[in-house]
Amino acid sequence: MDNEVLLSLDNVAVELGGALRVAQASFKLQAGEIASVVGANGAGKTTLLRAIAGDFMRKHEISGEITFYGHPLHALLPRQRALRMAVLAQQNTLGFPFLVREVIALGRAPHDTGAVNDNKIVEHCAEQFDVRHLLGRIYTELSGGERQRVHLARVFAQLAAPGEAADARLLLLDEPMNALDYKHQQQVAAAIAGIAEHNVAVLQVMHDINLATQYSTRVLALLNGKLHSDGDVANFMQAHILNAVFDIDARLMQHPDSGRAMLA
Amino acid sequence: MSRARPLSSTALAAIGSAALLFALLWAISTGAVSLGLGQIKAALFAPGTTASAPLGASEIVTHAGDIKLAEVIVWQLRLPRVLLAACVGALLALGGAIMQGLFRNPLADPSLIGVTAGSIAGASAVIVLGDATGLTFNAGNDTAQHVLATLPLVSLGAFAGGLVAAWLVYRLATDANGTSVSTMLLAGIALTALAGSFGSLLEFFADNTMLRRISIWRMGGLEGASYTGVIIAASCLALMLFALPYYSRALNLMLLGESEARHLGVNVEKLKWALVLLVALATGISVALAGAIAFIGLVVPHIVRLLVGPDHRQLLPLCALVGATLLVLADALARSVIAPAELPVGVLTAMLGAPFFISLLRQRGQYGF
Repeated sequence: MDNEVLLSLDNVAVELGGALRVAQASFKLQAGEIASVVGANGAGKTTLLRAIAGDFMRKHEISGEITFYGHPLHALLPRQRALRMAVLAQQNTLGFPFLVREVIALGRAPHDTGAVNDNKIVEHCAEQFDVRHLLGRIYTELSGGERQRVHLARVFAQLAAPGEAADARLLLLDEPMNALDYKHQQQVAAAIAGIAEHNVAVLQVMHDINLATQYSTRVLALLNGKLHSDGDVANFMQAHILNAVFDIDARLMQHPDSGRAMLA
Repeated sequence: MSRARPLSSTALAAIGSAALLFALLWAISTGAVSLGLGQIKAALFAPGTTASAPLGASEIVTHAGDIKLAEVIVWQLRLPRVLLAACVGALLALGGAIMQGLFRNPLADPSLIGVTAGSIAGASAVIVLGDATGLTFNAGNDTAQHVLATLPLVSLGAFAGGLVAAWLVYRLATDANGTSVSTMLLAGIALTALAGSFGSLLEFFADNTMLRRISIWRMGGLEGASYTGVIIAASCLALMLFALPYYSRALNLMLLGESEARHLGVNVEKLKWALVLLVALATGISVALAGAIAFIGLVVPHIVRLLVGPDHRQLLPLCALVGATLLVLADALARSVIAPAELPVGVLTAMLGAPFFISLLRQRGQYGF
């Protein structure tokens, strides 16, 4: 099961408003992997993630083939996708006064697992992201970081599987550490590592290179919409790759505990 | 939880039902001729029977006359009117609540963003073009009957006009990133102006009777209430209340954003069409039957949301209930403040609603826009 390919992209290109945002993207992802997508501003990270999320469906926008658990992505109904794929967007614009509990429970919408199970899942996910004490609060009154954690809890609730033998699932995160302080960044990283062990593949857009490399098993680096490098962290953390991807003069140092390479 | 939500939805449902009942009774009793509860009860439940009580000859005449008068007032004038007010109020509140869900914005209201104007234009077009082409015109027959006969067709025109307007505003104001409030309101201004100029164009072709009927819609009023109108409004309301549970959960997800709703399993394109159709139906039918009554669709969902929260599974039926109550009360008030003359109810709701809208605009930062 673990070695089965969950997601596969074959020569995917995305063209928006006449500009080619992603080109020739081909890679495969399997459950258990935590892959970070990195790159300079405008390199096409979010576009790549949204293409996999199914946000571009028009013929003139997207070409190539995206296969999700053995099916062409465009042939799956929204509900079929929602049962196996959860997406955290970069920005969330909920302007209505839901309670935090209700927002997290929205993640259970595709499932028919019953209110009792769903309540347990909501509380568990709230606990994971340290928003349990906020469950009875009104979402619109929260701070940016608190909102981000509520949405993280919502997408984790969407992928929660009460049964033992859950199908392989995909978690897409666009800048999950947005607006979070260091303590909560670590909590989120732990939660991501935890869910990856339960038959979930994680693909996350990361801004901060040190965060990305510290908490992932694989790095996909985009340069001008093209996949420049794809491999494990050690492979990515080389000065010539960093220099090319970010157009900088990279200085590397070693992490005092793990010995991993870090960008100074 | 109790601090965040002042009322449970069950409590609001109970209070709302009691208030609606009270409002209906008060609205039937009030007006140019005041009726007591006993008279209303007699007229409603035992028409024509009470007059046979053994009384002196002169008393029989006056008493029977009273009963007859009360019966006529209740059955011919006030009952259709309060029922229509209730149905239209419910439709307006539902239309507003659905539109706010669709636009993900509590400021979206059919009357503010041009849907009502589109409906008026559609209704006017049917009146003028229908009469001009002989489709709905019987020579020299501009009676109440004629109005009734054309009501379904005019409703259809209002529905079509509202549909075009709602779709246009939605396409203009909303993209993948969400709704732009300013574009939405500006598109509403543009559409209202466009519909207005279309109306002026129609006036070139209209004769006096057509003009008079068009102007009734512009003001908004329930004095033309008839049972035909009540049946149209009630069946439309029933259809909506029947359809809405199917869409409530998806509407909740839509509040997160279009993409987010899709990621949570909603067929967004289908949902948007269904919601635009429902909004156009609610707005078009209420415009065709009662003219432009502004702000009910803005004020009612806002109040209900403050009380029980934004979950559409409870919000929508409660909006229908509160909307019905509010319009029945407003209409009764409009009939009694300067009795025996009447204020158009649309004027009254606008006087109450416009300051409310302005106060919402002032706190719009709180909604994240």
